[in-house]
Amino acid sequence: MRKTTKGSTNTKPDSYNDQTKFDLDQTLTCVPFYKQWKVFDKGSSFSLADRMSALPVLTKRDLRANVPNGFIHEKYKCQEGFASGEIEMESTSGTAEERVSVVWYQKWWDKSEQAAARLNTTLKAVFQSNHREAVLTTPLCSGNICHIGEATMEERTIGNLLFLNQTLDPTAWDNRSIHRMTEELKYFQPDIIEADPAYLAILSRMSLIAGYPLYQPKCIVLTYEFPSHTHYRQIHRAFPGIPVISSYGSTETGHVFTQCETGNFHQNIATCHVDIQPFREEFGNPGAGRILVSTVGNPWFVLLRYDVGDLASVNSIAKCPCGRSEGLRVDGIEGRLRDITFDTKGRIVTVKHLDDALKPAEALLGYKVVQTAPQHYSMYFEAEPGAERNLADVLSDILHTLYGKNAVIEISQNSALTPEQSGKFRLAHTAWELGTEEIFK
Amino acid sequence: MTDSLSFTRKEFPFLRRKIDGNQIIYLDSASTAPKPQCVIDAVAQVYRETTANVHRGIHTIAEEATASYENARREIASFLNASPSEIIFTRNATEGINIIANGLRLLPDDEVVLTVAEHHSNYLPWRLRAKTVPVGLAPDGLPLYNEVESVLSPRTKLLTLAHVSNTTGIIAPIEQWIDTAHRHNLPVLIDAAQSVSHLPLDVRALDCDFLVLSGHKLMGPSGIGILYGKRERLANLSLYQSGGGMVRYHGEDRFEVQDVPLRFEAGTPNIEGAIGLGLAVAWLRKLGMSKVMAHSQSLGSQLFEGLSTIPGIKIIASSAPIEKRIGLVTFNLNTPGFSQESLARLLCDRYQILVSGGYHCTHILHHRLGLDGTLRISTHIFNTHEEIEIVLSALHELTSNTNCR
Repeated sequence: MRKTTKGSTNTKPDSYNDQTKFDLDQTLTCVPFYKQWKVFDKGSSFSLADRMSALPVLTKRDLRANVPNGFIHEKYKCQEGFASGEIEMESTSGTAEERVSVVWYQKWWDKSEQAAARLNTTLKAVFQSNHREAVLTTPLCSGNICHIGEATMEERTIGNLLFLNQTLDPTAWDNRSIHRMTEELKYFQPDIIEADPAYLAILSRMSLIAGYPLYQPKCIVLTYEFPSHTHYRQIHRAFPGIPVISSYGSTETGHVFTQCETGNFHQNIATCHVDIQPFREEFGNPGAGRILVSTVGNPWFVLLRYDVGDLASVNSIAKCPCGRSEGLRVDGIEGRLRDITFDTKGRIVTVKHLDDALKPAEALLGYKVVQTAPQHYSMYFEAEPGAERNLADVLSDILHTLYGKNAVIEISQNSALTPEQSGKFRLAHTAWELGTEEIFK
Repeated sequence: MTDSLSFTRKEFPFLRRKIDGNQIIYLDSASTAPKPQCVIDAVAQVYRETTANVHRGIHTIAEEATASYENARREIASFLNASPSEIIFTRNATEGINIIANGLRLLPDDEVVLTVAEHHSNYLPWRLRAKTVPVGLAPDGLPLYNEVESVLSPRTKLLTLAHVSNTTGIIAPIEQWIDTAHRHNLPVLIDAAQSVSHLPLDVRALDCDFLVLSGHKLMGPSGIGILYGKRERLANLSLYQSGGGMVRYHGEDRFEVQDVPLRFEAGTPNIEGAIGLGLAVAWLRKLGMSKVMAHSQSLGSQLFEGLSTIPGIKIIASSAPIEKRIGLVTFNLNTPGFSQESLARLLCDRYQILVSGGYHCTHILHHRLGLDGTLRISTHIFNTHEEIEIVLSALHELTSNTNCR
């Protein structure tokens, strides 16, 4: 569980390392839950990466069992924080295994958002002035705000944010819903559309089909779940020339990675430290591993090596062409750990790996791969009208190349792939429960 | 305090369920109750051995299925002290109420007398067809049941109330309402969805005209419920649904509907649900409903007294006497920064204690009390006094100064 990790070491300022070391010492001595971890600490004579990798991983189960007081710095009086309104409890959505309650500290979240925006030139420019954002995701993803059903635009506008969607399943949007959303975008004129890529892809496609013009914002930020090439294609068609930036974070961790202008992901050192715990060799994918986030500067909710449940691959290029050198850089977010599949030799296939392989199938609108047995795979797909005839053969070839020549692959077409109960789409998964701890070094 | 019914715990496989490696404490039976093994077995048995339609087939298995289905009706009738012909299988209490609301041929100016503590299921069906006239409400949320006489008018067509409110947990004076209604020649509907698995019920002794219940709260399967009605009352209701099974004859010139209860059971019914409910009722009868009631009230009393010591708590209908409570208490915990839902989540996530958080389908009651949600703890026969101590201790811990340094 506690093995070598690639940490945020290729950083420029010593102050970042020094600050993180200071935060680590504070956390291990002053935050109730982590006092039990002090025995694992190698001590200040070791490097930050070595010290971090020696510590256990914080799980969602730990979070559920000890929130809120276990994660609040002992100098801070939680009752005063709650009473003053500085902090409040919030809950995330998801399955029983995924969901957690968190102490929400708005000031820290704002700082995280602002700092993350500085990692992309377009975002930075937008954030330098008052801006409006339209949010398009499942209503369950909007913290405690739930606009399910028929809420007016006024009710769904909170400060500079407009929450566009009120439906749990975007595949159920009809032309009336699409028209309402396009009209609201036209009226609200957001600088940014912050969206779940699957939701924005559907809105993009359906508004083009219906002939409803889409308001063009200054940029689009994709977050909430893994952005597939199929999503990008549909979004680019509806928003030609508009920068599409991928952002990675969570309710628990704040904004962790932002994609720069050149496509690499940069760590937001202002509010987090990141370790990537690699897979064991037999699972392949050198450089890839799970994202472990330690929050920085949030005394109300201190996370140390928190397993968000997602994967990333570490950047092999020493310097990013964008010129930024602070913090950890990763090639890409690889998707959720629970969504990995295995090739016929037992090596891990991440969602990104699968998605990259499917990129040439340009007629693909959506897909889902379920591994039903070690060598058996079922793929369900949705395609552009008229493209279906030979697409199944193309997909079969791609999956055989990816998973192995001896893989048994079954492919069927679906008119609409629907989301899970949480509102998120699942691009791949095994049909069995994964024992994930054995996967990592 | 002894737990005279704790021996029943082993009958509930669900209670062995764990979350995050820890065994759950289930205190949400007002939402739905766990099922004893005999009910699970009875439902599985239908699929394994008696898969056949009822009242239609003539082969052996069909006759067996019909016999089991009608035996369940007889068992439930005995449980309520009714005649089997007065027992209609429905989907749930909600459907039973809708059958009555539809069948009474109400006009928009007609009035239905109720309380604001009624579940949506016993509010909306009336509101959609007539005027609802609630009795008053005390500041703590206890309906002013004694006002019933004063709100009657020449337009009143029905009185209805929950025997036990799913939100207050208070046993209502239904005898008083039935007496009042009958003095004015009006029918009364009792919503027994919450009370039926906590209190003995005798529809003849009560002399109520209609009574509804849901099987899943009575430890039976989901999707099965009961509408009890006096025969003459049921016979006067207009038809709710039509289809197979509810007609004796259907020719080109005319059709003849079945007598009650079958005229209200159009289509293939929930056969396994009815049989499972019959088993649940038989199991409860064997335990003895007096013992069940004593246990429920004992847990309710412990819960009420324990909750009363927690600072910042507001118990709904706190002025009701303790002997009028079952093992169900609803309260608002004024803890800044925490919504009632987030408290329910924390009880689950930190302590694996499962309770309800929200409005419990009584929005109007919450609105009248100015409450943005509540927590509801509801017990059943398998719960123990030790479990109540644990939940009280967890609530103390969540709200105490020692928890939040």
